[in-house]
Order: sequence, then structure tokens, then C-alpha cells
Amino acid sequence: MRTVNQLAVVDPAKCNACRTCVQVCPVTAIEMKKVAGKQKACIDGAICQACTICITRCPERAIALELRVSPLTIGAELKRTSVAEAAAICLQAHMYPDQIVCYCHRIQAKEIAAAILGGAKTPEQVARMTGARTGCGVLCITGVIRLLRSAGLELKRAPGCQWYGTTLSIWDLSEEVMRKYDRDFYLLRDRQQIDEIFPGGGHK
Amino acid sequence: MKTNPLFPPAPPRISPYAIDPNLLAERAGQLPGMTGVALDDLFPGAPSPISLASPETIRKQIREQTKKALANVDLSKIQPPDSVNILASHHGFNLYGGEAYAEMLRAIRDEVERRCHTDNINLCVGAGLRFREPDELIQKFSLDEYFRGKVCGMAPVDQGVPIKTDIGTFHGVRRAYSARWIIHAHNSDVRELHYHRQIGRLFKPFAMSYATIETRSLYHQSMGPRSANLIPRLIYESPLVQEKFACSVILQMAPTGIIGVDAHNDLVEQDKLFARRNISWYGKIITLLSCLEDVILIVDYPNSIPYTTACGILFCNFLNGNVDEFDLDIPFTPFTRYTDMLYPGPDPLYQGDLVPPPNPAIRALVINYCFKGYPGTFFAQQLPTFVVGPQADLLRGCVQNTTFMDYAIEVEGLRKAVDFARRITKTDNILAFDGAVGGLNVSEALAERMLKLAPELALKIEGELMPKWLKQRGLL
Repeated sequence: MRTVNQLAVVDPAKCNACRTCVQVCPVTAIEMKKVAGKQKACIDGAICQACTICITRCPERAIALELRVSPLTIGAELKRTSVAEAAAICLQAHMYPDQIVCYCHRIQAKEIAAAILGGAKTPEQVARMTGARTGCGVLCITGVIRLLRSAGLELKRAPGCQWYGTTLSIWDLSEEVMRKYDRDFYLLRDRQQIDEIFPGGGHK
Repeated sequence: MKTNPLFPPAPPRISPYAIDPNLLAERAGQLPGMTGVALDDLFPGAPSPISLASPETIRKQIREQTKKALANVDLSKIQPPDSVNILASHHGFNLYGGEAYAEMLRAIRDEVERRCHTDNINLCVGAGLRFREPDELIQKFSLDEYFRGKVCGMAPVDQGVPIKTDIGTFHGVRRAYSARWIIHAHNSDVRELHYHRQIGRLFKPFAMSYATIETRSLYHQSMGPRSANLIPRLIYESPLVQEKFACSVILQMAPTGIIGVDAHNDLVEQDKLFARRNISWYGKIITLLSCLEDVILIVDYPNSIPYTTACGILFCNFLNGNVDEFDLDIPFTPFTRYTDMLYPGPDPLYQGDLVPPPNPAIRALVINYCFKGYPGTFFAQQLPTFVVGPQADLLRGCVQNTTFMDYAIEVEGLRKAVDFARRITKTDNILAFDGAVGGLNVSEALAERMLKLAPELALKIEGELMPKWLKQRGLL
């Protein structure tokens, strides 16, 4: 569980309604709304995890962090009755339940599996429930997608412009492709060794 | 013992990702007993760098070298009024203050305008994990003005463009590929050897600085430690990129500094050239570091922890120093995201031989000065870590390191931190990653050890290791 003490707030006087923040928010906390007759970005304080991604992409520098009146607690707890089910999702994704998926907040695969079992169906919903992708916003997306797919969920593309659902992994490559590129890129050898470290999956 | 005066450390940078330079009370080189050890005294014969005497000197040399390098490149495909995107990465600006890279970009622009008679030339600067950094760098080097407003910072969360390849579809940042032509403007610094393993190092930005989050994440998390390097290569070879690729211009780096500029129409050939050079130029100093047995390491440089540098090598080259990162028979190096994910606690989830531990020679890590904005909790978890006062607050407030300080000890000043580290490690060997150019700032005891090890090691590297490294890459 992590406590978030801040939230991002838009200065409507500076907002030019470009929608960039809407596109990049990993928890889809931002919507365009009419403020004094003009479209402005508005951040839902109940959802924002203060990741600062919107702040860093706003061309008008119209967004800043403020202290929350009351802190937000983030984290998906795994119910005892769901441990085996969560472990099965992780194993299918070639992950240990305890392994780190989000390096920024050190969120483990089992926490993401718990969010999925708790109803999360997209990376954005996983982010809202666990905080994954609300740090660097980059490194863990394919891990989250692999876990969602392992739970049998079909993903198309993000509501914004961050992921496109074309994620593949070394386990998706055909023998033919791996043989073709093995000389220079060690695909067959990596696959064999990565299978030893990260067993599981439903591949042949 | 032959030692040198201290090498000047890299100056601190004013940045939202760093502490106020006024809070940086002391640098590693100011500690008692520190001395400089020159690369030339360790391994004579390294290539001579350009002079960094003044910004004017740097600009003059780099402009001449860029013009000379581009003279051998065919730019005839670019016709007026074609648009051209010069693709840059934030890394280049972190090399020796960034003026050389900035001037290379300016000179490319001017040469393209002069030879191709188009002024529709844009500069697109890619980011790492600090999305505001390109804007900072554009402003710092007045590139907005120079490119007449045709500049943009790119981040991996920006809108993507599909890139179809032999194995699937990846996504580049749309703005990078918005022009008729692209010029890949990068550098050959050895940098993250633990990721690229000198397999297609020059291609990497196609899956990083110019790519969106899904492609970057795939490289780091879902592909495999060596085979991930197939992704940037396939993106480069994709129809979309080949249709737009005009040439590449590379700032040539060596452990001694900036060597010059190289340009080529064929990145495959250019990459082979630099693989040979990097193996030859960086192999010795990296291998020397891997022979050290016990060291207190001080991070003291304006970049995030793994990218702090000295003598052209990174903190991470030392963190992974207990394995030979050039040896492609070794699949996993101690730190990559493929290993980081195995450490929810002090011990890895996988207990077999394939995953080596972080370099046990690093007995303590002292963080005096670095940037936030890179997930680095692994370092504090795995190494006894002391963080000097103001840096601790910076890291506590970093959204990418929310638990870093749970594993580190805050100490009031650099001297106290190093004294404490000395007491618990019982070593006098101190190595600073402080941006030293042409050598390293180390304690006298460590300088002596390095000078003793170097001659014999040079023979082993030349006779045994280099031929193996070259052969593994089909270069022998």
C-alpha cells in the first residue's frame, strides 16, 4: 500500500485545451470540461496519483502539484482465497507472483493479478488500483499487458496514445524467426535461458 | 607511484531534476587523500580527444569535423523543399557538458541547408524517463533560436506511429517520423553495455529515444537480455524507416573524451565500425575496473545514478563489473530490468547460476550528487547506501524511487558519509563517478592498485579477450 499526498491541478487560465494531458494520463483522471464557457482540462482529484506525467507534457506549463487535503491510499491486496488464482495468472505470464513489475513503486506481479481478479480489465484500471505506470510511466507497460492477457482479457488500445496493444514477447516468436536472427541476437539461447529463469506460460 | 593532479569534476546543473547547486557543499575530489589517475598512465595509446578548453574551441572543432564527416555522405535524396527531422537524444547532451553534441546538431542543420537547399529542417530531441529534459536542453543550448523555432522535445508517452517489422508492429514517436527524411544524430559512447552488449549499439535509439512506451518496455522487460537488441535493428530495417533514412551522424566517443564526428549512409556498416572501436577503446578500462576487489563508490555527477560517469564509463559498467559484459556467452549481467524484476527483497527469486549478483567489489555506495528521475531502488536495496543530506530529500520526492530511502541511510555531509563507509567496509579504496575527463579521481590506495594491475591486464585483453569479443560479433 502506498500513500499519495499530492495531486495535480490545472490552472484554467493557462490551459489551451490541447488535450495532451488527457492523452498521457495513465489513470485516465483528466477530462475536458467547460469552465467559464471554455473547454479546459480538469483533473479528478479522487483518481490522480500525482505521477507528474501530465505536468511534464503540458506545453503551457499549466499543471502543478498541490498537497492533498486527505491522502489517497493505493494498492491492491490479494485475498487469501485468490492466491492460487493469482499465481496461475502470473505463471501463465512467465512471472513469479513476487516478482517486480513496476520498478518505481516496486509493485509485484501478484498485486497486479489481485487487481485483475478485483475487476481491472485494462492497464488504466490496473494503474488506478495498484499504482503501476504512475512512476516513470514507461517500463512496466508490457508486464501489465502480459498479465491482463494471461487472465484471458483482450486488449485493443489505450484511450489515449500510450499503448497500442501490439505488445509481443520472446515467447510469441516463432521458431523460424528465432532461427533467422539467432546468429547475431542470441534468440534461441536467450529463450532457453529465460525459460529456465521465468518458467510457465502456455506456449509450446 | 605516479599520480596526477585531480581531474575537475563535472559542474552541477540547474535542473528541476537536481538539487540546487548551492546545496552541493563538497565534491568527491575534495576529500583528503584523493588523487587523479590518468588513463594514459594505465593504458597508453588511447585516442586523443578534442580540446574542451572553452565552448568556442569545442564548437570550432566539432563544426569542422561534422562538415568533414558529412562531405563523404550522399545527401542527394534530400531535395528542396523536403522536410528533414534531425533525431537527437538527451544522452548526447550529457557528454562533457553537451556543447559538442549541440554543435554537431547545429552543424548538421547548416550542412543540410547548404547542400540540399531546404530550410525545412526540424530538431526532435528524445527523452529518457525525465520528460521535461529535452525542453531544458533545447533552452540551455539556444537550439530553438538556431533552428528558427523548428524544435520539439519528444517523450515516449507522445502519440505513436506504427512501424511494421518482420516480427510484429512496434511504435515510434509520431513526431520523430513526421518529416520526409530523418537524420539519426547520436553518439558512440559505450554507456549501457549491460543492455546493448555492443550488439547494434548505434541502433538503440530506434527502440528508445524515438519510440513509445510499449516498444521501450518490450525491450527492457519482455524480450530477453541479448535478443532485445533485435528490436531497434528491425525498426531501422522497417520500410517506414528505410523510406525516410538519409544518414546518421555520430559523435565519436572514447574513454579519453570526444574523438570527433563520423557520418554514414549505412548504419549497419557504421555500427560494425564502432563495435570494433568500442571493444578496443573501452575494453581495457572496463576490464580493469572489474579486477578491483573492494571499493567505496561515490556518485557525484549531474545525471541519474546508473549514468553517472568518469573516464567515459558509467556507474553501471562497474555495478556489472563482476561479469565480462562484452562476453556474449554470458546471458545475464547483474543489473538490467530482467534481473531487477527478480529482487522483491535482498535475495533473488531465481537461485540458479544464470543471474549473477551485483558486483561484490562495491562495498558501499555514497550518493553525493545525482539526478532524480530513474527507477533506481535496486541500487539501494543491493548495496550499502549512504545519501548525503539534500540528495536524500530529492530522492524521497522522486516518484520513480518511492521506496529508495527505505533502504538507504541519510548522512549529513560527504566526509561523514565516507568516514562511515570506511569504518564499516575497512577499505581505503575510493572511486568517484564525478565526470572526470581523461582519467579517474580515486584514493591513493586505489590509484596504486590500478597502476599495478594495468600492464599485465592489457596483455591479457589484447591477446585473449579482444579476439573473443570480436569473433562473437562476427568482426574477426
